[in-house]
Amino acid sequence: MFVNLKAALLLALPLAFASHPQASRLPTGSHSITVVQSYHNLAGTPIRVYITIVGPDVRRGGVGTSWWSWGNVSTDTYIFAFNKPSNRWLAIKFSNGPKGLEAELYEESGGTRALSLTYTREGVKIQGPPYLIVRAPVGYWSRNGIVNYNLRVSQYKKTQRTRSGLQSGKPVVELVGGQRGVPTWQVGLDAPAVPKGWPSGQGLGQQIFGASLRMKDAPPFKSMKPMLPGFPYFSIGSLAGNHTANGNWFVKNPSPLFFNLRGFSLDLFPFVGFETAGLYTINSDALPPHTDFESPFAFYAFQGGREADLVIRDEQFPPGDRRGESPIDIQRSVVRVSWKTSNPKFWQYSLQLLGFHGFHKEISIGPTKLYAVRPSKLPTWALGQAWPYVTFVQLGSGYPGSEGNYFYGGQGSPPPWTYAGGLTTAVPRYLTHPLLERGTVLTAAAWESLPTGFRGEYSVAYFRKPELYVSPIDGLVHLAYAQGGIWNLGGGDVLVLSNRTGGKTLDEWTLDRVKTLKKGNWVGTPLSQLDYLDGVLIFRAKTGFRIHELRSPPKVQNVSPPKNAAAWQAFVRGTARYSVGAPPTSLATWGNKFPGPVLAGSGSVVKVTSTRTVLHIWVTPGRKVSGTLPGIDLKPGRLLEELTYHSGLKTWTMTPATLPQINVSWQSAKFISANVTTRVSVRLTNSGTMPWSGIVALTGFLGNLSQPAALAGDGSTTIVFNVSPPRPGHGNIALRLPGMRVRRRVVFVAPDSRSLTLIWPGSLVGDAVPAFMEGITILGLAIMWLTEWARREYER
Amino acid sequence: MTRISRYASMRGVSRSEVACYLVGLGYATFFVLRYGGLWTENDTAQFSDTTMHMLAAGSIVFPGTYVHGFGYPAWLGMVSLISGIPVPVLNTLVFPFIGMALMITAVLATYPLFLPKGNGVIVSALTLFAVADVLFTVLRGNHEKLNIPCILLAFVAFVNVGTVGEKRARVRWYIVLALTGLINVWANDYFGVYMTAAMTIVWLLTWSAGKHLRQGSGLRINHAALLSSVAVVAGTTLLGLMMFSPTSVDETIAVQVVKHLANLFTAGHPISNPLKTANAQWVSPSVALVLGGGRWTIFLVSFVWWASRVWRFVQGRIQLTWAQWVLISLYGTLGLLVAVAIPIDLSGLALGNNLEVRNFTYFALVAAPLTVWGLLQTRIQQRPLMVVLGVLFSIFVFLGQLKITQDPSISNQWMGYTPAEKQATLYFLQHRGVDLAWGGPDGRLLDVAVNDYPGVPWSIVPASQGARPFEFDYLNSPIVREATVLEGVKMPNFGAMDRIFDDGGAQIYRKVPVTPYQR
Repeated sequence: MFVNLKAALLLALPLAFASHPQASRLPTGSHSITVVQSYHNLAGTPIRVYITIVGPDVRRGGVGTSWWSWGNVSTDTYIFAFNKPSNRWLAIKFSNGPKGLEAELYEESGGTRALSLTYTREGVKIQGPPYLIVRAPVGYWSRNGIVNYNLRVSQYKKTQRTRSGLQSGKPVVELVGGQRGVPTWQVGLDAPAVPKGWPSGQGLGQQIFGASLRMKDAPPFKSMKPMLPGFPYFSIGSLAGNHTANGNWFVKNPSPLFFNLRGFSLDLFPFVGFETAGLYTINSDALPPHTDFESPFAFYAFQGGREADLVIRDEQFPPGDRRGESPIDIQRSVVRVSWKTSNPKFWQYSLQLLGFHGFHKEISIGPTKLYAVRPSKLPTWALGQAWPYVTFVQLGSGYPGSEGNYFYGGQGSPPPWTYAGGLTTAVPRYLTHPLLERGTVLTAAAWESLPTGFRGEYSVAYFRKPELYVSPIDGLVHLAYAQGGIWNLGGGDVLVLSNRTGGKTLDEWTLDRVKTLKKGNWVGTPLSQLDYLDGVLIFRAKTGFRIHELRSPPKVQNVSPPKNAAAWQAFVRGTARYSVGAPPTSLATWGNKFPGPVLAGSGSVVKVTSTRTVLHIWVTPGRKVSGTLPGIDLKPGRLLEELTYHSGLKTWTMTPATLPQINVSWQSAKFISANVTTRVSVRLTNSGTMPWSGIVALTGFLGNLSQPAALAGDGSTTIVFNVSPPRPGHGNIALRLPGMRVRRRVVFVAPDSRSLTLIWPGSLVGDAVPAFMEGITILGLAIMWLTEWARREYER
Repeated sequence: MTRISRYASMRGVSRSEVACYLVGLGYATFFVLRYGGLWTENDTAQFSDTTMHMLAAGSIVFPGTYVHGFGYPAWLGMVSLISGIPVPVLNTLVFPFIGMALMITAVLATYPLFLPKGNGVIVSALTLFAVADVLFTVLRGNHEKLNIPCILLAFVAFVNVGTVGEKRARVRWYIVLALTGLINVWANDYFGVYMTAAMTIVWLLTWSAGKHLRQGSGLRINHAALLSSVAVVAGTTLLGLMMFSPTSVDETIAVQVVKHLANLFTAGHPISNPLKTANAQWVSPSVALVLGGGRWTIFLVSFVWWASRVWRFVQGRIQLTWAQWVLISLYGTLGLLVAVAIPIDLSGLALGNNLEVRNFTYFALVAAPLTVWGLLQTRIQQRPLMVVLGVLFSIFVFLGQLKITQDPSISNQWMGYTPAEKQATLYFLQHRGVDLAWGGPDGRLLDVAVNDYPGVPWSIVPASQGARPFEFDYLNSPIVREATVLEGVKMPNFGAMDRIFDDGGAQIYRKVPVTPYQR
């Protein structure tokens, strides 16, 4: 995550000039000059930096010349001391060899002890290996003000550096390429971490390969002013921390070779940029060409700033890559698409697309080829093809940061793949019961969380291109064909979104009061509920019900997730009025804006079913009834009435109804044997006119089994349980139906026994041959034994 | 029989020796045909699989190589290439005979050194047939077909080096030592170290008892030549380890020894090793006791005789020949290695925890001639006693045959499978997606898959606790059902599944797909 911090304050005032105190020890022909500059750290404390330039051509310039022009960046050595001259914690040694210009950067990390320097005939010798070696093969760092960004940077890990480390240890190599003074790509390989012969496409468990590409339409390149104009990659300053994310990237790039006065440590930052608009990066745990993890992570700008308006992060693992979640032998991709609207600081929406799409064509980043899609085609690749498992999140009133949304997407966690890999039938629980977080602090559980104000929707059987729409009922942007969703309203309330009919739009909103259980689990108790079925709004609460036939059902407005700048602008325009929506805690008022007849009562709506053309509502009117519907004369005090609405004809009918009454008759097998599958069937009959549905559970001696069942009014059905009793004996079994009394009975299970003996079933040659051979062998042995002993005795 | 005897006698082979071969081959025939050729177990399956991978890779070092030695897969693969016989067929139907013949040859070459000329050798060889452990070792498809003859022949050379005066003859035996040492360590590095350790200990015993041997028995032992033979064996073992070291070539020999002692040599966990001593494997504890009768009788008799020989020798009451001394010290050494293996097994350091079983095989090979030597020297060769002994040993042989074939009449775990099960296994492997199959409570059908269809991912899983939630295919057969009954495992609920395959003798059931991702 990017943290925007103040840039370091550079005073750059030369305070004093002095001859080097050890000039007498300098090699013949070499000279040195020390200058002192003052910097401030983030706390405002001044820090003096003593810069000593040593080299054969070091000469103090005249008045008005800059100190950095007194030496050169091809043969001289620059030694940096902090606070006092003996604190020599940084040195840059330049040389010009057959492989091009080279700069060796030495540091004593953390400023605990000084670099050990000696002067020899060849020049300054710095003890120990360098931390970085920067090489420009073409022979210059900067020419005519154009910076050369064709570099090779060798980085030796600080923890691995020993006195002989440079000779024996492999460096992390970063290759940088650029054009016209702008770095356009960078690739890096952590060679020391990669075991010999490590295959491509197999994640190691840590990042070993990285690449960055600057898109053609990226915002203009901006970088911090360098300390040495002749070596334009280096500067000294203060950042809040040593991690890359502490660089003030949204203002300008920090110098890639940056000595941070906080901790007195030298950092190597990306040359191209970090999570700013116009970047296309790969952060892989596997070697190219089959990279994994963040492959790619792309940042698109539509408003011209350095902050991205659309970010696409594809967390993907090729088949067989054990770094990803199980099952490992399939391609696994989770694409996180987040976008902003008019406010360039906050993310507003995100789609998280889980599926099996991989990359089948190679692209080039510098000298490296890898399987991916070009930056310009990535949004279409992500949003223009069908995905099986999709979540959509509206991020409250906006979420800051540079990487987009992390919440309610399942990235980097097993449950989505356990389900989408076909390993379980249970839909991941976080989709219906996410962790309800109060704040947006990022935790390891973000993938299964919804902070207050965030609304998440899902479909685990999507199999279509991602589509969005604006609902006229609640006035919000939704995922089309979502199976359900949750809106964390905070204060212990959630709005549960449901799709009862399986259509394009959500059709049920339930306001739940949350009771928190252990480990972040929760259960909701409905306070009120609103259904929109067949052009009728049905509101239910403890206080009563309200049935509202909409005179002219409003139409939904389709919107497309942004694939490019034009689509993004269309989305922003089309959804500008729909970021807040209808008040989620006042479901009863949602219908007020729609004209049409309303029937209300103090009783309750017992059940609602819809076939999309015919709507059935079973209602107990209660003591008070107000309003009416065409053709319905609902009297207070009636026990149960069935209201039927034909949406095509817009006609209502009413008939008296009775509650479901389920009768059970056992039809179990006569003989049940242990370890043998047997059918136990139960006949269910509904003697009421209202239909019934629920889960029928068989528990007890035969094991625990359950089956869904549905009975029409006055209907009957047979439920079959296939049981495989684990043990013989007898015991109780019970049949449990929701809302009904438990039915019990006793069953007897016959024991199972071993039947396999000498006879082996299905043998190719039967048992005659082995038996014969066995007999012959044993007989032969016995005879041999006795014969040999007899002969021996005879011979004696 | 007469013709064979006549031919054999022309070649210097006695009629008894021919009969010994015939008995051995008959035993092997029974082993192969008990289940109509359809048998396998863990090591056999693993080596079929390894050999097929080796042939496919065209190299003895390949991903997934058997890191403890390439010898057996290379031999098996070579014979397969030459003969055109598929590796699984060769490993289960042909090599049991070769293993048996090699062992008998090595035994007939070794035992005459230790025992007086005559029938003691044949009786000793036949006594081995009462030790089921030894026969299972050479009949099943693993590297010990090579290790047993190599170790026996190495000790033949060792005995000869100690007595042969002529330098040229000694050189010949050094070559034998080098060859057996190399083959032994290439077949399995543990047995390379084992043989080196055994020979070193025998030499140390000989060296320390040298004065006593010279004075008491008048033996003039060439200690330098013996030391050279130990050096040859140790050197070739070291060379073999260095030449085939797929894991790490830079480790010192000490680290190698420790490592291989710790890691052992099995290709995987010996799920179906019938000699794992687990009483639960047999129908009752008393059956387990009776099945070990031959082993314990030989151990008891040989130990009593060995202890009496050692006691009398130390007291100076008996004289020993050089070969007898080697037999005595070898018995003590290999017994010591069995004893050492027990705590290693108990400590859980060794993979498979069956080191003492492995070591016992070699111990039994020297216990047999010691047993017969003891019996020959006592007065129990009266005819009635002989008859009793003969009948007793015949019973042991018979029980051993049941034991090594894990006969269902006495064993709760089986190594046989039916053609229908094989067909069902192949069907599953050909049509499997990303899922695993449940194949009963043990690893029997997994072994079938690995042995008969090498190269296919191991996807038939044993389930000791019944079906697991992530498995969707279930192989069922009457034998699988028997196994669930015996293991007390809950049978999967096949009634709630789709039967997607049925060949009459085996079925595959599949859980009914519930989500769009389950196919």
